Amino acid sequence: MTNLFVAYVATYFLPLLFLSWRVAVIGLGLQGVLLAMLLAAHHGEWSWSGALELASLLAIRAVFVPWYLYHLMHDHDLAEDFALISKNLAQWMFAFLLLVIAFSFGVSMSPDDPEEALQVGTATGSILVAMLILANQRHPLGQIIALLNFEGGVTLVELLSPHAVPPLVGVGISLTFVVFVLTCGPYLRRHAWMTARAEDQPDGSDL
Amino acid sequence: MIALWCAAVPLIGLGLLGFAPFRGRAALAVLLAATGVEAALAAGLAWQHVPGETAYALGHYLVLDASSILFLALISVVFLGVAIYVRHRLAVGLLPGAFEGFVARSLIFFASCVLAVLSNHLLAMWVFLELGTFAIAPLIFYARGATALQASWKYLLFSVIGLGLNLVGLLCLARAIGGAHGHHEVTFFIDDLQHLATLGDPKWWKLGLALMVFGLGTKLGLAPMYAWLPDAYDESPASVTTMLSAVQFNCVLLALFREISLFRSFDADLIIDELLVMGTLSIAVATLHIVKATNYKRLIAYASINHAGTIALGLSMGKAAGYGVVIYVVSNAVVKAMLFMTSGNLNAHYGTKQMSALRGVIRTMPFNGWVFMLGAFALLGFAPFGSFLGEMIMLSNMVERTYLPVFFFTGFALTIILVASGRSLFPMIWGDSPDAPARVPDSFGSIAANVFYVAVLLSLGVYTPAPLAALFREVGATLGGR
Repeated sequence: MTNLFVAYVATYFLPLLFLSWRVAVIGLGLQGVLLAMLLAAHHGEWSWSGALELASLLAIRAVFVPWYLYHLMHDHDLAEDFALISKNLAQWMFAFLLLVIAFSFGVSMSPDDPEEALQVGTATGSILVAMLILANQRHPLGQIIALLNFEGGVTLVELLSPHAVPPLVGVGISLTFVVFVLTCGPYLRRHAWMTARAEDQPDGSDL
Repeated sequence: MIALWCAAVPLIGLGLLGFAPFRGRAALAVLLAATGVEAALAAGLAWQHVPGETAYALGHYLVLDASSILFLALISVVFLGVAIYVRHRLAVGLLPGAFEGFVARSLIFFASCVLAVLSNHLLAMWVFLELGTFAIAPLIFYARGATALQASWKYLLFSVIGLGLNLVGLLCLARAIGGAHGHHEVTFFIDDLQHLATLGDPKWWKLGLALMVFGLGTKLGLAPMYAWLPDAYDESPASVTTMLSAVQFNCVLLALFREISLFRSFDADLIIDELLVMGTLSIAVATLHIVKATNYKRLIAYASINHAGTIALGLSMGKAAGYGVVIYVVSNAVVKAMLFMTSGNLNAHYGTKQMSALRGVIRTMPFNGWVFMLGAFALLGFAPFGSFLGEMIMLSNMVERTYLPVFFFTGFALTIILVASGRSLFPMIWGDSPDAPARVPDSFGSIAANVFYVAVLLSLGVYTPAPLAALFREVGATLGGR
């Protein structure tokens, strides 16, 4: 389990250092694979709800999300050195400091259970790094990557829970995630508008 | 059975729209019929509610108790008003050609809101709030330009973060209970949670509670996470602003009521300080923005932040101020619906939202001018409207509980808001214009729903019928825990 958590931290931290949106999107896909592996390791016994959650993690987070984002973005002329946070040592040190804070928080929440402390630290780190990206980003793709990192952190917290959610609610949560990703699509297609400072188009009818 | 019908009506409407060839006016007729039937059902339930009676459906997933009945009636009546308003816009030729997408998304949003209000399961409620958010976000920039798109995106970002934090809070609560009860199945059914002997590890559930309140506070537009609200309310079409401010706001508020009520079942004095801080901060922020507002729609949006702050202060007072909070919430929804829909009419006629460009609205557009004037009075907390009564109950509770600094601050802020809003709005309503435009055809249809809202506001302040007063009291009592 420890290796899986370390790998998960790498999927959201390393894209901060690589200046490429493709690396960040691949990182999101890997997060889906790692979440599925963590779920399989966490809930050892086979159950329908567990199997459904595993399948949805693999299908939605590991396959659909990276494919959809890549499909939307590969025609756009994004800068080659697309950085999730500002390219300077101070920002990278700050991101590292956030990780230290996240793992200290994990230890304070679960002092007697090192594995749970690691899980809480990994999830908190994912959420804090997502906030850092949001604070730095003006481009919708970067903001979507931040939101997906945030959602990944939330899913990690969900794995903390000693029970599986009822299958119906589980399906609802997965559906919500898919709808969220699909909702981001139209915004990403109009990303030139999103970063425009002036009003590019007159307002339409006041419905 | 009736709970099932309430949940089914918007879904049937959605099914009709999806599978039958309803286009143009017929699509709008489906929206009108669905909201009309829902409003009639909900109003009947509210009128006939027996105090203390609770009904369940779908294996306890849906509940009809006092809170769900009140909020169902409120959002249905507001949504019916929105449907009537949109129909009028169509009749006078102010709608873009293909608006079936608008109607379909509105119905999905309405169905999500109805299901969120009826949910007895905290995670299911979260799912419906999130789905409602995704349904309405694209409507913010429906037939509009870049600034509306940016406002819509900002709304989506803040909503996902806010609801995400709320979900983390719920999961922390599950972790707390799961640890305490030996890793047994943890329930998210609200009524089951209220009957637990303990919530388990306080470190986990206190973290959960803080995240839940902060997350839902973000969706309500409470400071410090309010930045999305003025842009989204200002840039949206008037009907969408009404859906955001008077329908979604109340669904989120019900989620907050439920969560606060749950935790206060274990400790009645929980999160008083947090709500006081968020409430006073929101009122302070709203006051500063209202003073320098030049755009009437944005001014009403800032007033909405002030209202959210006032509700947070009322919630911090606990059960004693519960009745006042409920009256204020209902009045607030109606006032916002009135003002935002009227501001849409004004914007359509004058072509601007700048207050300095509008003078003597009451002479140029008498119907809309009168509704706007009454709405402005209710917004500012004048008697005899319900908002006045609600505010008085909350303020008197502040004095009773000796929260005097908060009381004086609130009184001071409300006075500044009154002066600043009056200075901007009153010339717009009554002022003389050197080049006064002629009176324009201002049909009653454009304010049909608003006339009903004025009657509701007056009734709340002067005489509330006994069944409704009993319902308000029952909902208010739950705010201190069961």
